[in-house]
Amino acid sequence: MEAQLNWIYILVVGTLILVFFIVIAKKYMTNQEIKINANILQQLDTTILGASQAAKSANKINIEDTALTFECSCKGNNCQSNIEIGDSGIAKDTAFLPITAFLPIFSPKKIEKSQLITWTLDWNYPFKVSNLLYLTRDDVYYYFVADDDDKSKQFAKELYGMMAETQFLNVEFLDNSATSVIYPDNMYLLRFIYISEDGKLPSWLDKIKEEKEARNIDVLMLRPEPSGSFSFTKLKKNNKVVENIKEGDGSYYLDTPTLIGVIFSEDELVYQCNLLKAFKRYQYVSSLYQFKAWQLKDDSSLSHCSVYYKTAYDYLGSDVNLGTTINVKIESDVAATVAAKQSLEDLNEEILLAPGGRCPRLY
Amino acid sequence: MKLLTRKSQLKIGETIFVLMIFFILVTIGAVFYVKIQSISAGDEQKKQLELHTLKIAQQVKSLPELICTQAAIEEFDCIDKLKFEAFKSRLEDTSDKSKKFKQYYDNIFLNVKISIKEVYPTYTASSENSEEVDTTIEKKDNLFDNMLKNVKSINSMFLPITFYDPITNQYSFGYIRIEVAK
Repeated sequence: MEAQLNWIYILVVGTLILVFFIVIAKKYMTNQEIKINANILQQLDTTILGASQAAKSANKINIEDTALTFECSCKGNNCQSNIEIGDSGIAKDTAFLPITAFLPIFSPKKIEKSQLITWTLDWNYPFKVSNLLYLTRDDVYYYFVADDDDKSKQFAKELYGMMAETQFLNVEFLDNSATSVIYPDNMYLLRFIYISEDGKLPSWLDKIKEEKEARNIDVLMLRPEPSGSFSFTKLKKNNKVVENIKEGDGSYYLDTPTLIGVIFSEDELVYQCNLLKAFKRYQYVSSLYQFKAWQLKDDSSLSHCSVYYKTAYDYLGSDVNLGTTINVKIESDVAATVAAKQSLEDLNEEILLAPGGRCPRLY
Repeated sequence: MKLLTRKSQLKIGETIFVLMIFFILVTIGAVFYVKIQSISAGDEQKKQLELHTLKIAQQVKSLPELICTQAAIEEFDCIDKLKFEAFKSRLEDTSDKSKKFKQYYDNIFLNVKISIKEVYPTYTASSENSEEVDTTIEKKDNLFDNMLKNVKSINSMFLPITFYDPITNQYSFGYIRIEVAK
């Protein structure tokens, strides 16, 4: 009887002690996970912030232990980015990373089991609006391929040169006829940036998608223009060869920094969302320049320049120039903002050369 | 039989006593651990607040809304007075359009107060007493106040800056005071 009671005690007390330590261990593990994610978030915040301030800077960060998921969603023209670390959902609130609320971030949707590469360019349209942040992974390869005409080749070489300068990006320039290139295996994405006047895919790309082991292969088609339309065509998606599916309904880039944004974006939607974020900031910065033009126009010591500032004031007040109505899928909208940018740039130069004394530049 | 029951009761009491001592020791250990952790968490929080203030300061210094530019090329540590005035008046404006404007920057600078003061050549303090700096701060120009009430701790930072007046083409000196709360 006594021995039985002893065993019952041992069982009860043993279970109690075991449960106690299991609960403590579980709590500890959860806390550690939150701590690690918070550390990564902190690092990411510092990196993104640093990158957002230092234009033309590139960086490589090891995030092999975790996964970053990037989201960008819009309600009308109000767009918002979120970054999720692991499966924690820790940054699904801009309070954690306030900078993501306004900084355009062109990136793949997921960065995991690889290194994070960051690159920044400033966006002057024509005045400084914001820096654009480009993120990618070290298992993404960018291949620039140009058609045989000189214009396409020159355009491709310039873009290639800019990206190669960063030293962290996997980027190569290919001859249109070059099919004997050794492509790396086990890549997340092989992205071909094909620059051509006629907009037709070269036939050798079909061969590559059958043979290569990359998880995803796609082609970004461009015309050799400083601003213009683009389209993505998927050749392979999640290890499955697909029938050259053209994705999205076609959008436009405005200048080189936005074109680089297209190259780094997962797809057309990611690009559109982040460009709208950039335009939101543009509206606000632009409204401040309008106010500045008004103050300069009304100053009696600058009466000889008032005609220029009046033009600038009216100009910055229009909806097209403020970018409030832009739709990056509509050619006329994009053309109007590109023309507005050029006119403002010309006006700023005219102000500098105005006769009758010193006229301060608008920007 | 009675003797056996007593012996068992004694053993049960002994076991319960050992268990009680064990759990008391574990509880004391846990309390000690939590105390140590909360102290180091407090230190860490203070460090994070300082780091956060530094980040906000960097952000403010490079805001395209404020910085001086010459043909879109940024000038180092310089604020354009006209852009500053424009920014301030839009933040203070109560129209619907400006409310959205303020909301946008509220999201960026959460729990932050930014004030800017032009010190020289406009600064004309006569005395040389120690309160001079405080007097200057009192007269500062509040650019942005998004500080929540009842905050636990505030960290502040001063940044020297130059101001450029495009109308007179003159530069002056001053500082930005950034207060960040958590």
